[in-house]
Amino acid sequence: MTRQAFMARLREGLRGLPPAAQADIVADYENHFNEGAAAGRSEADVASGLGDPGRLARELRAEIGLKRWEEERSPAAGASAIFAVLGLGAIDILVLLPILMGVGSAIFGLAIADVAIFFAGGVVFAAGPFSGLPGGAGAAVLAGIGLMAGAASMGAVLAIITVGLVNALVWYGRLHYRLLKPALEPHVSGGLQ
Amino acid sequence: MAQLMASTNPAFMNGVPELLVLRLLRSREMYGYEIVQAIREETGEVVNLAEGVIYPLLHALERGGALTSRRTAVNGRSRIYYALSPRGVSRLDELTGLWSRLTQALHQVIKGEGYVPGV
Repeated sequence: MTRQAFMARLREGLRGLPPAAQADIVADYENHFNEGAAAGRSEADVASGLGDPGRLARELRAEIGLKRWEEERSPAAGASAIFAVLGLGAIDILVLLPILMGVGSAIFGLAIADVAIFFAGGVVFAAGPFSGLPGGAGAAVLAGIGLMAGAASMGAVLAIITVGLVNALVWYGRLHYRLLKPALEPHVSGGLQ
Repeated sequence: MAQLMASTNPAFMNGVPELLVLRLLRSREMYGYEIVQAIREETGEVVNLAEGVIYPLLHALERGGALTSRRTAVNGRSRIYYALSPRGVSRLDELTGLWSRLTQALHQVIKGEGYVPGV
């Protein structure tokens, strides 16, 4: 593969990333070709040493998405981490997809129910004392507070479970890097059997 | 299962590039391309990194404070030289200690003898 073809495929694969991140990555690999040429290597030799540019771009993208999740625990960062791992396109990750969607929908459903319970608690707390429920105003206020507290703690548990699941997915995704981690097997020359 | 294994790298190789990069940079500052070549030569080509690995690793180590970098132009080529920071030195000590203990213990187990720690 020529240098031009390699860089074109790398750029193609990086599209959509922040421009500064793209420029940094492109500069690294342009420099790498320059150094290789200065050392007397052919473009094809340097390109084959770098590996498949499409795969390299997918892993660099994934790493950016996963790093964002490690730096900031927000729903948006979580979504970008999930898409980053799926973007690797490894077969056994795609097999996980139906399970992932099932678990994701279940968590989403529970979160909606949780919000509903919280608001129901708010209504009981605010309106209960004036609607002549059995047990009187005090019981209604306590029931309302109880519902809201229960919903809040359920929300906290859901958040912990979700963070744990995304972490597990991030760990699993990283196992699938071939180019960003030392791909020992295809390069071994004698030393390791 | 064999296919699953083939699509992943041995987990025990994960920390190896970091260890090698930190060790090489303890002697002198180097740029990315040079580091890849040095790893290949100094390990007798047993460790032959996919060349593209080095850049994300260098950026991650720099962000983590283990490396410092300076950009310079050499013969019209732009080079980023990386050097070990004090934090990188202690990270290197930590990793080499861990690695020595691990390999000694594994070596004993592979030979069929037990490992006696603390000597």
